[in-house]
Amino acid sequence: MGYLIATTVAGGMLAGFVGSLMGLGGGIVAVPFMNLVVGIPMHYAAAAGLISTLSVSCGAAGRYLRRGGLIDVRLAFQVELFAAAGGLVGGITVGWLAGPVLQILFAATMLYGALHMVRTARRGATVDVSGQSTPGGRRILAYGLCFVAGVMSGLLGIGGGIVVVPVLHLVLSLPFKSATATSNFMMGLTAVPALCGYVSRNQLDLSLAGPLAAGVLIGAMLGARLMPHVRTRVLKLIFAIVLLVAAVEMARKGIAAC
Amino acid sequence: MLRPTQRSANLLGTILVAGSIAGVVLSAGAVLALAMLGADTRSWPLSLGGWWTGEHALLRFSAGLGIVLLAATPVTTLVLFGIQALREGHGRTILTVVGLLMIIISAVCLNLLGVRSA
Repeated sequence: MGYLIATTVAGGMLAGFVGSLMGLGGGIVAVPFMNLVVGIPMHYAAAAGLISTLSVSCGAAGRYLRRGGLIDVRLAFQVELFAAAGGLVGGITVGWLAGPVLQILFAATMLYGALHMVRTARRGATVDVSGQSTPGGRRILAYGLCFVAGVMSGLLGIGGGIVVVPVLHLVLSLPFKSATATSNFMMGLTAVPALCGYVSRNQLDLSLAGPLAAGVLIGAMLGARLMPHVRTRVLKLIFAIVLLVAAVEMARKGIAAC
Repeated sequence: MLRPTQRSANLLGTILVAGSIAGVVLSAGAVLALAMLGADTRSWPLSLGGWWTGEHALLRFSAGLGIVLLAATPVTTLVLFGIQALREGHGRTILTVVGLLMIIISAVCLNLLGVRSA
């Protein structure tokens, strides 16, 4: 029991640390850690991932809100309507999917995450969007993509930042830093309806949820303190390689169990 | 649509940080205390059937309550934002907040009704 708690806290710290440095919810680290290292079934790992997302979202968004100007609350609530609906759909639908199928889906998401990291690590990956307006068609596209991000969040236990941040930045013309902060604010509200589905199936293990959330909070605080002193470009490339390795391992396990 | 003032943004931010820290400390502290007391916490899900049953009921209740508190924190900010919009008469914001609350209430109701997809 003590070993399990210590391992879970360590995994949470890693997820929170990486999440705060990369602008992610931490679920993309917490879920494979819980599934591949701690060895809990995929549905339970996804539920734990949503707790990690909630923890990072509340902590980071709270600080961004108090700092002022970074979170576009008005836009966040508008697009959140679609992300939360997606979260609800994903949280219910996941009950029909077997663990190995989820592992393969998660591996695909990690591959996309690795590509996203490489893309954002390159210089000039952010686009100057100042002064651009958002036509109605692009707005509808953003709503649709946020719904997809919500479904992914509910299915896989991730925050969906790897989809939401590019949508806010490239489709809705929000500056990159503002898009990251706004996505952090949205993640918590997406996780709540998704989590309800897992609770109804008794898949949220309380002996893991609290320690994981505590680890995530500690890791996120450490990450925020170290942020000004580290070269995130190098870290992003290292993280992309780690994601790639984890994706291959998770896909291998999923395919073997199918 | 309503944009929050810096004062209300400060309030929302403080609620998010304080709520998440309170929830996490309560839940993790209770789990740690249970581990130190040698309680059996295998197969212990957060369920409406009663996550607090068994020995050390208060500690078990606290562990679940912490997670509920963590989940309720972003919803509280949504409700407060909705109240501000209601006071200032921003119809579109009220509709958006009500829509979001309906989604969350639907999720809770599905949970209460015991809807299980598998």
